[in-house]
Parts: sequence; structure tokens; C-alpha cells
Amino acid sequence: MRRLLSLPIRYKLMLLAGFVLTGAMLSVISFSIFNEYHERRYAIEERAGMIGGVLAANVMSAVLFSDASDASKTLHSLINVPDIRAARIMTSVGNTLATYTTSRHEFSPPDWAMPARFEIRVPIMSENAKIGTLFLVVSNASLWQALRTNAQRTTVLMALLMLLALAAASKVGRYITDPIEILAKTARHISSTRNYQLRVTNYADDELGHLIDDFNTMLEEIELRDTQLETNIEQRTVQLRQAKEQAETANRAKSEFLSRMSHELRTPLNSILGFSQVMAGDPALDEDHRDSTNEIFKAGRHLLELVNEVLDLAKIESGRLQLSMETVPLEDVVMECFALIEPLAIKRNLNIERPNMSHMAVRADRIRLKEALLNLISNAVKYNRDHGHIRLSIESRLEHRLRIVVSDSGHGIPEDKLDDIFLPFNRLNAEFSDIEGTGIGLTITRRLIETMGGTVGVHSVVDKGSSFWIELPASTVDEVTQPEQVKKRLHARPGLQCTVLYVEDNPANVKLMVRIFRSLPYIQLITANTPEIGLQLARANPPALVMLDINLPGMDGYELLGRIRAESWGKNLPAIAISANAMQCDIERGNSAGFEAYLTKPVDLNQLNDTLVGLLDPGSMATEEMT
Amino acid sequence: MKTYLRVLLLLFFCPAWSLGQGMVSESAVKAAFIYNFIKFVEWPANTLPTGHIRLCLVGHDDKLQVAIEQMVGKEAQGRILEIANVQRSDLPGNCQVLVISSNEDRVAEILRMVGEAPKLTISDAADFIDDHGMIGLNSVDHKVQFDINVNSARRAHLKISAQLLKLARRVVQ
Ligand SMILES: Nc1ncnc2c1ncn2[C@@H]1O[C@H](COP(=O)(O)OP(=O)(O)OP(=O)(O)O)[C@@H](O)[C@H]1O
Ligand SMILES: [Mg+2]
Repeated sequence: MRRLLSLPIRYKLMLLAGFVLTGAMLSVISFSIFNEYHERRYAIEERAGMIGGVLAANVMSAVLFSDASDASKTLHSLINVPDIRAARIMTSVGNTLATYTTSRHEFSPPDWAMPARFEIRVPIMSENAKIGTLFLVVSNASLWQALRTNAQRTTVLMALLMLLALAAASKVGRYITDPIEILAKTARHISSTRNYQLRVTNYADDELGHLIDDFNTMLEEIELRDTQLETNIEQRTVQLRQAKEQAETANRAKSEFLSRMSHELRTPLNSILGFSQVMAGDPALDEDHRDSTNEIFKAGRHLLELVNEVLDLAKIESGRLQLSMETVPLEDVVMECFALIEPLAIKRNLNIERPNMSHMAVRADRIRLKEALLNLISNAVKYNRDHGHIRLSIESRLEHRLRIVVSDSGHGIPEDKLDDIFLPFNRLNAEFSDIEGTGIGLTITRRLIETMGGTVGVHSVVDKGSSFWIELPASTVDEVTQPEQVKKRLHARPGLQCTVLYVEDNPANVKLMVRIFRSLPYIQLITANTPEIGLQLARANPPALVMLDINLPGMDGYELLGRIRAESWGKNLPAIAISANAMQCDIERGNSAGFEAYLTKPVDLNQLNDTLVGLLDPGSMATEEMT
Repeated sequence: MKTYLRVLLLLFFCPAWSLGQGMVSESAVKAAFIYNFIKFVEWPANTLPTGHIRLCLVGHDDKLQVAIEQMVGKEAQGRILEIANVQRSDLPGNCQVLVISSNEDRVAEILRMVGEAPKLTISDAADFIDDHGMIGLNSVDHKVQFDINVNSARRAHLKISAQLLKLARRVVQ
């Protein structure tokens, strides 16, 4: 039954037609056979009766006169009637007068059929009196033969008709199933290709035709809706793009504004800083004024840092940050950072833990990496508890990356604030404490590292401590170019007080230098971001040494050196060139221009130390092994 | 099948009923023949009386007379058979069938007297039909047979049925 149900409609129709036809045919065939049997039987009987009547009349005289030979002769005329197989004449007294029988009567009747022969009796009459009886044995053979041929013929005919009918049913079935199949196929096609432009051709005006029409109408509606949707989406996309462009333009304008403003602010700030330092160094100043001048200097420096960082951020955001990617040995960078941070750490009695990092290197911009790392380490120092510890570790990560982790034992950061600390000017209430900072360090750190293709992350437990990490692509350290690491730090001999002027326009370099000189409490570093300010500061308080950047705005380092040498105080002033131009010809030019030393960026601490010691007071400054 | 068998059995064990079995007398057979002859003869219109048909017996054959008297009252041609004994002097007389017994010595004379009157003449006298009699009876080996002179009958305006003619031993036209 289930197999039947799953047959295609066409076959079901054919099956139905087959059943109906077979039934109809069987009944027609049996009816016709039945009919024919009776008709033929009747005809045979009638004929036999007629022949019998004639015979009876003909043998009447023979019976009357008991003439057996004549009776026999008469009966023998039956030879021309093959249906009548035998005959017999009986007189009224019960004697047989004559018999007749065919020579071929011994055939056997078909066993499945009715009697193959039947008998009819015809009375032999004379003068209204019955004088005898004529018995005739009539064969049904011709009847059966006729029936058989008839049945065969009808069956063949019916079979032909049935085939025709099945073909017709199949054809009619197609009229029903074809449209359905086309519908189903189209629906399947549409659902797989989402092509709603397809239509099903309609041939008929029946229910299926209406179904197809409805289907097409539905498709039309979907298509209409689709096109409307598309135009809507297009409009929205255009609107969104416009909005985005507007926002980007606005953001660019903001960054532009910030960077311009910061730049404009930096020059006067540098003057303030420089001169307040010069003032503070004046021995004629009394204690109160010196304190006030120091306050001016501190506030100014804070403002300058802020301005510099805002400028950095603006630069990063506007994509104007220039990076020089190279292989940076981790040992160097970490060493330099800790050297800078050490005084503060010692002040707070922090325990610093560092692994051996030789032969480990990442691909990064050396200065920017140092800036980022310095930020993390200085945070670890700033937000630590007294007598706490700081641990630096390196982990190898997947895809050939290195992770630098800075862990501290500070008060930690609540989980829900972890995202906020990377936002600019977000200090998590640290602004209300006496911990110095602007709240922009982590923002810059993340932006810098991400611009270098790395990632920055944090893990923190409140009251236990925090772990900040930087992840960067690993690189291999070139053994030849790696300078021999001598763990040294600048060391000044007590009692020697002097001033060093540093003219550099890049705030990052300035910041670095300021940190380097923090460990030399007896050397006062005065910085200037333009040659003009530098000259003014030097005129006001001639320094013991100048460090000049070569690429300066307005005039380059060579010209500035020329101006300094033209002054009375500058004739024999020691001068160091600090430049990113590291070609041999650049160094030669520097030396011939009158520089006592030519250092290339990034500045090597040892080299700077040696140079400073050699130039400031040969013999009075010494190097000391770092522990 | 049964029918068929029965036919076969009858064919072999019940041969045609014949005379000379000593069962029926020759006179009785002759009487029956005479009676049957009447059935196959057609008289001219209006020559047959309504209601009966009269058979006249000429000559003295007591056996035959007795046998014929057995037939009286039977029907032939839709009429009751009557019988009458007639003398030669009465001839031709009022009868439709004239049976002349074989012991009558003046058969020819009788026939002449009857002439062409529509009377069926029957006799078991020898050569009866050659004497212009119509139906002559004779028995060979106890088997009764008959001859017919169609010519004589025609002259008397009688028509003898072909059915009868085909049974006759000899037919004179
Ligand atoms: N190691 C740390 N432990 C606890 N809190 C920290 C740590 N590092 C950063 N924070 C929190 O995240 C805030 C943002 O740090 P971020 O370095 O951006 O700014 P800052 O240190 O306050 O100032 P600066 O811009 O000078 O670095 C800090 O104010 C501090 O509250
Ligand atoms: Mg910070």
C-alpha cells in the first residue's frame, strides 16, 4: 500500500484505468460469450429442429409402412448436416426403425465445457397422431469453436483497446502531472538559485492552470519585493557611506586640529621649560623663588608631556606615524627600560625579576617598542605597592610570536574596567591620587603595537596584581650586529654640577633622553625642540655640552653648530651630533663639521655614557658594573 | 455420452422391425397397409363425403375382412373409416376405396365397371396393377410389399403422394 502511494500520479491514473478497463472488459467478454452461447445454441437448436421436422415428415411414410431401408436412406441425408452427429427413429410401440451415425463422432468433448452435444426429439406425426419419434444428437462443437474464436478475437481486441486506453491514460496523466512536475522543478530551482525572475508557462485553463497562474503571481510579488528591498538597501548603503565619510572627515579635522594645536603649544612650552630651568640654576636665586621656579618647571613639563602624547595619538590616528621596522633584540630594549625605571623602583623598594633574554628578538620599530614597554613597566612601578615586585617574562606563542609579559603585585584592575583603561584619558580614579600620569599611556601603547602588527592585552586580579602583555612577531637576532652587552649605567661623580643642552624636535627622543638623564642627578638636562629656542637658552645659560639633532626644523644641526661656534661661549663647547643618518659619509661630515662625537639613533647607552664621560670631564667619571 | 451410447446399442441390438416374426398376421399387415394408403392419396375436390370415408370390400377373404374391420373407426384424411361389403352387381357403388380380395376371379371386369370413377382400387391379386388396378399388394417371404400404377390413379383423378411412391416396389407410370 505504501509502495502504491508513493507511485507517481501518472502511474496511479494508469493503474486505475487498467483496473477499470480490465473489469469492464471481463464483464463485456463474459457477457458477449454468454450471449453468443445462447444465441448460437438457440440457432443450432432451431436449425436442428427444422431439419428434424423435415426429416420427421419425410420418414413419416416409412414409419407408417415400417420401411427401415427407406427410413435409413432418409436419415442418411443428414450427412450434409455436420452438426447432427447421430439420429434414430423410434416407432410409437418402442421399436427402433432406423439409425444414423457419423463416422467422426468419436471426438471427445472439451472437458471444461458444457456437454459437447445435446439431444432433441421430434415427433413423427401422421393424421394428427404420433406414430414415432425422431431423435437427433446435435454437436456443440461448432458452437464451442465459434465461441473460442470469438473469445480469442474479443480478447485480442480488448487487449488492443486496453493498450490504447492505457496510452490514453498515460497521456491524460501527463496533462495532469507535467504541469505539476514543471511547477515542482521550478520551485526547486528557485529555492536553490534564488532566481525569482523565472516563470512557469501555462498551457491549460483548469485547476492546475490556475495553480500555475497563482504561482507566477506569487513569484512576481516576491521579485517586486526583492527589487524594492534592493533599492532600499542601496539607498541605505549610500546614506551610510556618506555618514561614514562625514564622520571620517570630522575625525580627520579633529586630529588635524589637535596636532596643529599641540605643535603650536609645544614651542612656547619649551621656552617656559628651558627658561625656568635656567632660572632654577641661577645661584643668586633665593630658596623661595627656586621652589616656585621648580613648580613652574614641573607643571610645564607635565603639560608638555600631555601635549606630546596628544600629538602622538593624533599622529597615530591620522596614520601619519612613520615606523621603521627592524629586528629588535629584546635584551637591549628591556635593559634600557629598566635602566630608566630603576631609580624609581629603588625608591619604592620594588623587587625586579627578569629572565635571560639573549638571542630573543621581535620585529618592531625600536623606539616605539621601547616607548610601549616603558609605559607598561612604569605603570607596573607606579601602580605597585611598596616592597612589591615586578616580573618580566617572555613566552613563545603560536605562529612564531613572542609575548612580553609585565606582571606586578599592585592593587589590580576590576574585570569590568579592563577595557576602559585603554581609552584615552581614562585613569580609573588615579587622577585623584598623587600618582603622576595623563591617562593616555596605554592608549598609545595599544595603538603603537597594533600599528606594528602586534597585540596588547591584560589580565588582572584585584588586590593581587596585573599582567600586561605585548605580543609581536618573533625574529632572529643577527649575531654579528648584536653589540656586546655591557651592563653599565651612567654614573656621575658627586660634586660636579653641570648643564647639558639637547636640541631635538622629536618628542619621543626628548622623552627618552630625559629619562636617561634622570639617573644622572648631577647633570641638568635642558631640552629645546627648535634651534632658535636652543640658541636662546644657551645664550641665557651657556651649557657644558650640547647634543644636537641633525634634522631640525628651520635650520639643520650643522648650521646650528655654526651659530653656536660663532658665539663667544660656544667656541670650545663640546658638541655631540645625534642623528638617524647613519651612513659613513654622514658620520665623516659630522666629524669634519666640528662635532666632537657623532652618535646614531637609536642611541646606545654605553656609547653615550662613554662619550659623555670623555667629553665632560676626562678621568672624573667612571663606568660601573650594574648588578 | 449416454445418448450416444444408447444410439449405438440400439443400432446393434434392435434391428429394424420386420414382418415374418410370426407376431402379426399377414392379413393384419395388409389391413394396416390399406388403411395407411388412404392417407397418401388425394381425391378430387368434393368427391370425399364429409365425416367419413367408405371402404368397400369385394370378394370373400374373411381373414382380410376381419383385419380391415379392425381399422374401422380410425381416422384418415380427417374422416372416420367405414367399411361395407359390396356385391359385384352394386358396383361402382358409393365408396371411395375399393379393396378387391385375391380370390375374386373377375378382377378385370370389376375394374372395368369402376372405370374412371374416383375410387382408389387396392388388391392383393397378382398382376393387379397390370390390369389397371392402382395399388397391388403382394407378400414376398412374409414381407408385404406394394406396387403402384400411377397411370390408373391419374385416370381416376387420384393423386398418390410421392412419399408412398418412394416406398413402392414397382411404380407404373
Ligand atoms: N599595572 C597597573 N596596575 C593597576 N592599574 C593600572 C596598571 N596600569 C595601568 N593602570 C590603570 O590604568 C590607567 C591608565 O593607564 P595609562 O598608562 O594609560 O595612564 P597613566 O599611567 O595614568 O598615565 P600615562 O599616560 O602617563 O601613562 C591608570 O591610570 C591606572 O589606573
Ligand atoms: Mg602610564
